[in-house]
Amino acid sequence: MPPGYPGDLIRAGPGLARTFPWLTGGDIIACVTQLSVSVGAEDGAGGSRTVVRLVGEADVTTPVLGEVLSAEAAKKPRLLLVDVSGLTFIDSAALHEIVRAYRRLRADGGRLAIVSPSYAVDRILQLSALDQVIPVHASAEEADV
Amino acid sequence: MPNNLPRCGQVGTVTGACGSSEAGKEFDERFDAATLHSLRERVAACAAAAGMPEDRAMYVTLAVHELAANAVRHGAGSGRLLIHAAGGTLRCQVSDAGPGTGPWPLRQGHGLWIVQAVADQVTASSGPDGSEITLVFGLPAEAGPCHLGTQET
Repeated sequence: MPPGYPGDLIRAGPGLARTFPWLTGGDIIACVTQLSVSVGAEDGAGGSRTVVRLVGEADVTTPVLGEVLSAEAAKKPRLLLVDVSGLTFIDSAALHEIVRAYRRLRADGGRLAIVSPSYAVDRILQLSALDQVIPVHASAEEADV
Repeated sequence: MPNNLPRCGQVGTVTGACGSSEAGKEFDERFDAATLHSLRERVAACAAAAGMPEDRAMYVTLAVHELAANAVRHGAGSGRLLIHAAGGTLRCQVSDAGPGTGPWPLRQGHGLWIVQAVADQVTASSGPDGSEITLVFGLPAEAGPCHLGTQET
């Protein structure tokens, strides 16, 4: 596994040294978590729903997204909402993880929807045509009808 | 790494200096998995400095990220990004020294589809010494259109 995954111990390279000038090359630090993922349960119109909230930037170096989504999808919730309101960037690798969870839930008779995309993330969803595959809603209430 | 891609015949004026106040200096950075995140920030700043509108700058950042992520995941694990703004275009060249998994354009994935959707021109070469991909984006510059040739290797 390449270095740079959240929670990994990595060596500060030139890039990190630029971002964190107090570090010198060779220092061992815990990787900065660029993405935080939290999971909660809410009561919705049709019953309980699971909300996975993403804050930060989701990309190929944040496998925590795929891990959390597949763990939650395995619990076969009625509705799994991926709240991306706190997300400022998402790449194709992270989108792929959402698609995987979507397919898995569908196979189990559940639903997955993306809610509250920021302008930037909305543009990426449109560009990748993912919004044609996975429902995108402005709010959790709108998604849970 | 050879940079033998065709140059614009028109004498370009540097519309934006990337990562430097020194006009004409190229953005030249190495990246790996640990620096993909910060690379995006600097690419966005570079595209904006070159005169790219905010929306387009976001697409440039996304496209460059996808290529850099491919180099990290499927290539050498690290690579190099060169960006040069000249002649009304922003040229972003991503290269890596990995063996690659075949000529780049033939290996289609979601990320590459995004790249081809947003870039005005994509040229790629791949060999035993690694892969090199150049994206060209038109800048909304006062300079006239710049027609770049296409090179296939």
